Amino acid sequence: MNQVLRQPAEHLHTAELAALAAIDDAARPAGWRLSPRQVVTFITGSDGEKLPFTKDGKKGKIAISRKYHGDDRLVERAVIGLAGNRALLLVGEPGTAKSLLSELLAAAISGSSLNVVQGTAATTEDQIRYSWNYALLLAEGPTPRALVPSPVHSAMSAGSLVRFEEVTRCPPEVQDTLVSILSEKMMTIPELPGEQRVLFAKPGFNVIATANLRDRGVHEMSSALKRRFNFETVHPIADLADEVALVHGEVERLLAGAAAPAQVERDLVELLVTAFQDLRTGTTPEGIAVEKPAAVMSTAEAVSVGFSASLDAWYFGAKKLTARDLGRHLPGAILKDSSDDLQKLRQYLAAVTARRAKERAGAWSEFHAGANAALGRFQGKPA
Amino acid sequence: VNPAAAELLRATPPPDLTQRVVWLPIRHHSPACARQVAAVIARLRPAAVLIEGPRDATALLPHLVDPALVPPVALFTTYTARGDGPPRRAAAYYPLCAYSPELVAVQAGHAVGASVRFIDLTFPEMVHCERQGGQAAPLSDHPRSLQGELALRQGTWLGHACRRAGARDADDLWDGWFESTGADLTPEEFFHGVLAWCTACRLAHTPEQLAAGGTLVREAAMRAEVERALGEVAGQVVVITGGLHTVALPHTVPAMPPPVAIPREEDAGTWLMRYDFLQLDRLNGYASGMPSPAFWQWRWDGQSVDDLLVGIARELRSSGGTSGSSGSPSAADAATAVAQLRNLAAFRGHGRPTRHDLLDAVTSCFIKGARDIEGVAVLAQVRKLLAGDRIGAVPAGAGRPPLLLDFTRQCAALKLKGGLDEHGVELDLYRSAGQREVSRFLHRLQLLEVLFARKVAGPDFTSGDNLHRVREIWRHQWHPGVEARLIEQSRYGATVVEAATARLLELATAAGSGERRAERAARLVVEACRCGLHAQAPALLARARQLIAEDGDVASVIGAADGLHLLITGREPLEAHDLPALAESVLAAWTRASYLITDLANAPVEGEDAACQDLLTWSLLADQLADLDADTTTTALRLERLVDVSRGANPAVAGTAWGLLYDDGQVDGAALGSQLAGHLAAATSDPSLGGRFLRGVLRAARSACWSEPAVIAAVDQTLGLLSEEHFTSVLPHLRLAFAELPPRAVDQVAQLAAVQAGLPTIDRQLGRRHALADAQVGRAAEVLVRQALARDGLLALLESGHD
Repeated sequence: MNQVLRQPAEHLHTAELAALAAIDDAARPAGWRLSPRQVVTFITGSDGEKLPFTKDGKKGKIAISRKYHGDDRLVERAVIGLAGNRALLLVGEPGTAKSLLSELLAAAISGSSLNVVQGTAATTEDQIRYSWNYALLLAEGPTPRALVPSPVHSAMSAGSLVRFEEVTRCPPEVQDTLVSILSEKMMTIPELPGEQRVLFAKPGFNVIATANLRDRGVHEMSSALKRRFNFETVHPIADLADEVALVHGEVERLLAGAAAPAQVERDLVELLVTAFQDLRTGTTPEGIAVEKPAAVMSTAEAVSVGFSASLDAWYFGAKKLTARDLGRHLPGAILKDSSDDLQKLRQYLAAVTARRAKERAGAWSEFHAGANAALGRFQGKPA
Repeated sequence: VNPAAAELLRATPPPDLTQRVVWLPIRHHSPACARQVAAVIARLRPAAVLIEGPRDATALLPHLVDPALVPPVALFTTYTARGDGPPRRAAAYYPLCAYSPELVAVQAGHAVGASVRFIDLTFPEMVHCERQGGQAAPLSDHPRSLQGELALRQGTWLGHACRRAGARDADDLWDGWFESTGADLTPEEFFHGVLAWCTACRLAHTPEQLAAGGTLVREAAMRAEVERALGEVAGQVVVITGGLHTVALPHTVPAMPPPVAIPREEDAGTWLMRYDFLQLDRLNGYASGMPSPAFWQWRWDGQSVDDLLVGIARELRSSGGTSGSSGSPSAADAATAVAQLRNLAAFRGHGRPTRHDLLDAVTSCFIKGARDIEGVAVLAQVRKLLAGDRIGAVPAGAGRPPLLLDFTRQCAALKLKGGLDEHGVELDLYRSAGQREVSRFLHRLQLLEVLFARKVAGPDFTSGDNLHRVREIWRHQWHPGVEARLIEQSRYGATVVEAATARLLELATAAGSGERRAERAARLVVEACRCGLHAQAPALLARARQLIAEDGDVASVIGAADGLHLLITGREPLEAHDLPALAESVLAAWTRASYLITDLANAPVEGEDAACQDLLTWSLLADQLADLDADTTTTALRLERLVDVSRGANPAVAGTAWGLLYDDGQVDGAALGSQLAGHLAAATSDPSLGGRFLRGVLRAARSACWSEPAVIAAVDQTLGLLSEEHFTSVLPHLRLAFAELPPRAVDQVAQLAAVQAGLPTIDRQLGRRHALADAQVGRAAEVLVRQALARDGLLALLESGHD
């Protein structure tokens, strides 16, 4: 698995998961690999503390890294809800790490985050229940061998978590396939004979769905389905230092993966995150009101700007990220599909970064210049 | 166990309950502290129980142990500081719930026969020592809490401990450590933990900070009171104070601050009043923490939080939408939520679920959608339910000033409902004497600035607004602020009538000097009648007459005449028309105004609107007085004075006078038109003269413009003669003048003007099709073209082509 572009959480953190399992002496809900306490520790980290553990007769110590930056209480609620056999629906704006959280939960609880249904407008009931290998179906008739299980089917048989990404992008009638699975915890397969007609979910089966309730192209959820989920709203990271740490870490990780180890200073990441928070919250720390762009100013987007600006610096610059690089890449993150956003960005640059450039000079001044230069390409003249 | 807490516990000596003096640290409104305090007092049976709280409230103790007392109640204490400048008032609450350690200590102490007393500074002393400390809490009408304990919720150690324990904030940590498991600990263990917490908080403060807040002076005084008690009783003494003080009290040197002189008895006082959970929730939100009183009451009553959660689900359902949608949880949701609550509490190591565990269970299970959209209403309603709506009761006559008792009696007699909800009443002032009585009572309360009721509709006889209405509609609502204000105002008298009378007379004295005193005095006569205080009316009227004779401010005298005249017109509601010498007083006021009236003609620009209005009021009064006045001097006097005013310097006021004269038929349209034209063409540097004059005319005789062709003709001719430049400078002022006309009238004027100009119709779309700027460019272009054509001798071509 080392030669893949992106490793799933359970491979990335094998050592941590094994150590936590060794430490864990608390009761585990049926079908769980870890107790709720250790699941939470896996996700929110041990705060730098090195936890002692004994595995295969050997003693070791391990610090658990923080993998999700946000409301720890939300993680607790999510884990406790899952332990109580409630399905979990993570809702929130794009780029708030909903999918990451669902992956981490699945990796910690079931040891696998790979049972995933990706919800789209084209998702069919087959993809949630099962379909057939038609060659075998013709040759043998409906046998378990000819049945192609969906991720949900597999999770029910194995007693593990299944992730349902973007559930609201599916048409409501397809979503509702989940209703009976969630309430009866079983799936009927009328084509199969005898006992095989019914698949009962093993303990440990549950669904973690993610959804965006307000994006374009999403469907309503039926209240029957809503009742079967605990909703948890994932918010963007509010704390500047937390978000800076996250973005910084992610950018460096991505650069290492791309074999382009450009130097990235924390202060510059802070500048970038500050700009993102200004535009996301609609107000700056100085109290200036900013018009929020329609584009999503998520942490993930900030990472993407940081990464591309660093690559720019590595290949075309002095191998060291500058504020000018960041400024040049900012408009690309904002100017996506709303023409008003160009005007909003111009106003932001004129009202906020221009002022900071004057007051604090240095990095803000470079950032302002870079962003203006890039904007010039959009309309031929600087803001 | 939190390592930081363990370390601190080791460093803090545990409390010794065998000593002569037992120091018990508490947090205000903490049920866990209350239980432990009660346990200690019951076990030790001390000779004295000393409690942090204003010393002068000790006199109220018998009422606190009266079985008729129903918490929540509050000690309410006021102080008026007199010095240079106006007196400054301050007030503070000291709320007590069933689960407040202080109230529990009072009751437990009483039960074991201990001598119970409060030992903190009195409120005036506190205000003084705060001021000397430099951290002067501003003396304001807004009452504050005497139980502020922000200090117990801040500090680096607490922040660190919260992070380690995974608590949201200090309140959350406190709940987890003390409230949820406190009942399982022995008093020694429990108070050891509280003391450790408070020690950490105390260490986060510098001595300078503590001195600045007056804390050190208070502690010295409390220590002095402890010493005094030790000299007076033989057995053990239990001292119950906020934990921050308990840390220092054993080592504090006793000292009393110098006594505060209270020159007037009514300047300071402490009362017991009923209180309610909603206010407590608000007050605690920023002062002492421990929000959501209904939650703690529930806990205190020993009921399970599961049941509370199920109750919340039912409440949400009964007020919410369809089942299963956000904010309307089904029974299955409630069951899930209870499981979530228990599991969360167990996961977090809380022996009993905390408030945040409850809120988390609600968040997980009752919100079907985004927390910041669908969840807002749900969480707001849950917070309201957790705040509760309980109202306390105070034993009859317990330290309640007679004014408050009278208020309660009157509310009952007049059938005004209590309770925290807002109620509405509709009062027919003209036909029902009973409803008039209610109106008078509510007006008296308004006079006393008791915010019990507000009038949402109805006639206002003091301002003269909405007099055509015959009913008053009021909304009234009880809240602790009502009682607090009544207590403060009890210095005015023992009954609402008495206090309102005293307040009225105070205002009358104040009206003897300062701006517009005649008017203020006259309005007070109306106020007296509106409040049903007719006994005062003759004296107030006499005083008003005197001031009318003295006051040289024409606006004030006109206001006075107008106010007194209302007494005549508002016969039934005010019942003042037979007041002796009323008609004579109005006439006297009007006549005096007539002699001062030319002052209006010299009004400055910024005061001209008011001056025009005054002139109109005065003129209207003359018509109404003609009925009262047998001889016709008013009519003659009015005309004579109007002519004088019409020659005055202020164009707007002069215009109004002209308008009035025109309206009376004293001048014709042509005369009015030539006046207007004269002002428009005035060869002065001020282009606004014409516009202002026109505005004045329109205020008095609106129809003059569209029903009087002579006026239009005069204006049209004048405007035609003006230079381009002069015209553009006048134009904005004309616009302003016409802005006051209704659109239909503007149309009529335009039509008349079009006829004057020889145009058959006016193009109403003109202004919409062409922007003003375009029209101006076009106009300028035309001028240039004409000049060019004239230079080339081609102008005739244009003229002929035009045909």
